[in-house]
Amino acid sequence: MAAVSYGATNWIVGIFGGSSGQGQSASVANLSISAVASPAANNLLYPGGTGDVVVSISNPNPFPVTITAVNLPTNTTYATGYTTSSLTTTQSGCLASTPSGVTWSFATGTSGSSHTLTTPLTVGASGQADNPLVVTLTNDASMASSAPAACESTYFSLPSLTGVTATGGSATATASPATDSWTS
Amino acid sequence: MSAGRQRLAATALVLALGLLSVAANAAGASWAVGLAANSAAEASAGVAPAIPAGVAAACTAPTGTTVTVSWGAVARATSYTIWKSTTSATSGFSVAAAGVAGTSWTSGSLATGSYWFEVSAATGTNWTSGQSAASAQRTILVAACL
Repeated sequence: MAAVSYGATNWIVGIFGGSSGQGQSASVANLSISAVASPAANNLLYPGGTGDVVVSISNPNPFPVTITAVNLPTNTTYATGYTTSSLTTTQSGCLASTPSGVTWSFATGTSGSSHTLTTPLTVGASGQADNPLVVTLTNDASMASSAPAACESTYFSLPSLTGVTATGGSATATASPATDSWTS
Repeated sequence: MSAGRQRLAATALVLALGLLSVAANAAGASWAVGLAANSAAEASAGVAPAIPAGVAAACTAPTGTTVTVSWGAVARATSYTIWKSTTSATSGFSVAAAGVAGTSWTSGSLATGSYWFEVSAATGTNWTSGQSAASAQRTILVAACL
């Protein structure tokens, strides 16, 4: 019955977090989004500029999930700098509290602002191809002109997204690795 | 009711409940969900701008007392700082001008003496290169520049 339902019905799917299950059916699991170092970013961050962000999106559900938008933290919620791409040792003088000056592009003063992806991303069903889905978000991180010199050659963990707009149902999975972005 | 019919009825009930569950999950619209405490994403930063090369200092005019310093553009530099020394090509440098856009700068009127110039590049406020090699010496005499 479930297999029949996937083709006919959509589900709303959240991203995995402390508020797991909030406002959702227990039969639909949350997505999880994690940092990944490969592929390397084509566009690096420089003061006053933008750079690429790379993420890995996992879908634990037995059906594909399509993401159409993301919700960002505020434009004063900063990334933390690390010495290597493994994001294990923080970079002195380039922390979220310093601040690093690195934020999500187009973030606003209001937490949870929604930003539509240029192309919807579909993560395959659990255990299927293209799950997890690795995505390069082109120029979706920004660095302030005042970024500290300690942030040179640094790797950043961007602040957590506050949510996604995602719908479960039948769809063709996006091939991994993919490229996408939001531009406003 | 026979055992077979009871099983059939139970199966039908399960199917009906499943359909109700699907109906409850169905939605015609999407909405954003709550805080993602553990989502993460990675970006990386580049390096400070390179040290400017090709620094030259030329008399603006043979009978003048100003010097024009020029240098090659540095990738991603947003401004340059000009350093001046009246001591030697290797010491005594201090800032003559900061926040210079473009790849040349002309001094104000200089007092008589010998001058050397260096240039550093900046990206943003805090990412700076080292200082360049010094320019050739320029000497200001009374109403003349050599």
